[in-house]
Amino acid sequence: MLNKRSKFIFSMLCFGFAFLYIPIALVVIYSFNDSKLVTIWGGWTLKWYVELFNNENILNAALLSFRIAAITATFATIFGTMAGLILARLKQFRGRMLFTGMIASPLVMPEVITGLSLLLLFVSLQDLIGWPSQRGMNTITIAHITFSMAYVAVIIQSRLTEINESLEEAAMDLGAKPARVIWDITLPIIFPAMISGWLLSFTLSLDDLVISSFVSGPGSTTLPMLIFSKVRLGVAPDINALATILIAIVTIGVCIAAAIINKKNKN
Amino acid sequence: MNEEQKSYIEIRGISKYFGNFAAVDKVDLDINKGELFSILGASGSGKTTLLRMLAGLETPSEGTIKIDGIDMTQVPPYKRPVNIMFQNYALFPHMSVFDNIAYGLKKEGLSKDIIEDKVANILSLVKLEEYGKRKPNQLSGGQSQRVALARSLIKEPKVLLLDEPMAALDKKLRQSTQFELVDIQFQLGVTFIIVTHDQEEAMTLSDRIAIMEQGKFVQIGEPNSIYENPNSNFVADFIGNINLFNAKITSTNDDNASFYCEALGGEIVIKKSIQDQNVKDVTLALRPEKMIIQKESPSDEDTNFISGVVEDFGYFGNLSIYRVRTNNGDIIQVSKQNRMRTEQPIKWEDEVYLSWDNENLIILEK
Repeated sequence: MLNKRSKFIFSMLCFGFAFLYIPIALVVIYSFNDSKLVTIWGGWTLKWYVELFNNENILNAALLSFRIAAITATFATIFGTMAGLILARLKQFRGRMLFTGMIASPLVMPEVITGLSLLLLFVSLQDLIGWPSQRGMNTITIAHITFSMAYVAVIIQSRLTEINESLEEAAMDLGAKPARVIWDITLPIIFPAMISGWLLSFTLSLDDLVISSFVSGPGSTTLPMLIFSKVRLGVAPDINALATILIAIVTIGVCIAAAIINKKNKN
Repeated sequence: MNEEQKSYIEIRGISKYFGNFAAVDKVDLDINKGELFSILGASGSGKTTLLRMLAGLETPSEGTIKIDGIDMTQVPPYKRPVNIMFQNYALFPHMSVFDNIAYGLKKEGLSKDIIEDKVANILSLVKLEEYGKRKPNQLSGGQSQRVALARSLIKEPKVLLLDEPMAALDKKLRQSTQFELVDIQFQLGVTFIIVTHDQEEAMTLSDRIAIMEQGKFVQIGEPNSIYENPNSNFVADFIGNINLFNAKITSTNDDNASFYCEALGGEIVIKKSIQDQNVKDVTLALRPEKMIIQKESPSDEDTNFISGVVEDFGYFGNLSIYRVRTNNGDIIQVSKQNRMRTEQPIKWEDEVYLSWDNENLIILEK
């Protein structure tokens, strides 16, 4: 029997889920819509998926986006973990305040500003040392790493502050040098946090439109940029199909990550 | 204690400042080989900081630490012949019990066979032979504590430091573990330094106790001497229960000192001379178990006694503790062994007489 209170909570739950997932469900359903007009239902079809896989532009953009996202996530996890370790474990050093602020700034900085300043950096670097000779995948990746690592650093730092420092001290007491302690004790314990950091950076990079637009060059159109330019000409049903595939990939990714983290915790 | 024998651990003028705050303030300490030494203090007294300096986890602001004649002050923790057992045990959550214990040996680069042998030995010493494959989160509090102990003993350190070793255990387990700990210490002959805030624990475990307060030692001695001869109000009050009375010295000669103490009914003579002529105000201290409480007035003319009314009492089975309000309005604590089953107990509002032997009064200069 549901009493009044739990009925209320239950309806709030339904409302919350509806608010979050109905738009997504609509996209998925309309991706199977056999009608050129997005808002009119014309029966089921898979033709938009076929069309999607025949569209080289979209496939190239998707491939580029995934490559950028994977490289970004990997480097952001490495750098972000290092920054998080320093923030959580080095109590006092010169410029700590500055360092903390610099790590946090990409989180609060408007994307337009980040994008613009990175563009200025790349342009003036090109003038000074001739690198990067051309803006493209490299510059987008570097830009994505700079803001993604801030998120990873925050995740790692908060995980590390939960872990009692005496674990690391115990390892040192038992004869492990500081570098060894990080490898033997700290990294295995924060491994789940590193995975979530990797996934978050991957998603952030895959999702980013504004910064990519600033630092991209000819021939380096990422998926969000392509979608955005297509949507400006009107919502096409093949975009729905693309969105559905992305949703499926993200869902699978999140499930795998959750499974890994769960297994890790159980052991 | 042999004076000629050089002390095993020599701490000289050790201080640790955090900003302007001295957590440990110019401390000297000598500890002998094989001793079970406790550092007892309230939280914030600096005892853990001192322990961490011995382990090398904090660098002293000044002073030196020598262990077995070798200066350890600047030696990093991973090179010290010292191991520490943390209050929260700090077992590595991602390693099995076996791997936790073997960790120190692996860092020494010993061969697999030797490691397996040693771990098996120490597991049987702490009675956990069957638990090698478990993970720390599958252990009870008592088992975790034994694993932590095994892990810190496996490298056969010259000194084992224990930070509040029993704090996370329940009372019954604590008592049995205390005896086991003493047993293991005796078997291995390792010097133990225990930091604790639990005076009972310090009293039962230790050969000697140092009482720490605001970064300094206030008294160092055997449990019995600290209990019976505290050197200050602080120590007297800190260890066990005690009644403190203000008193004035009225006269003193080579054998005796006379006091006037209103709370104890006036003139008190104690067979002890007071050297310092300037001392006038003192505190007389008297432990609750060194008084007799009874309903009848003591018949002996020479006995010191005062009368009062029982305001409150606690029954503990083996003994009862009474709070008696004397006719002066002071509250005095008295404990009484419940020797006879059939005895008519003393209850609230009962008129009682408290008597004591003057030799049991401790004179504390203010």
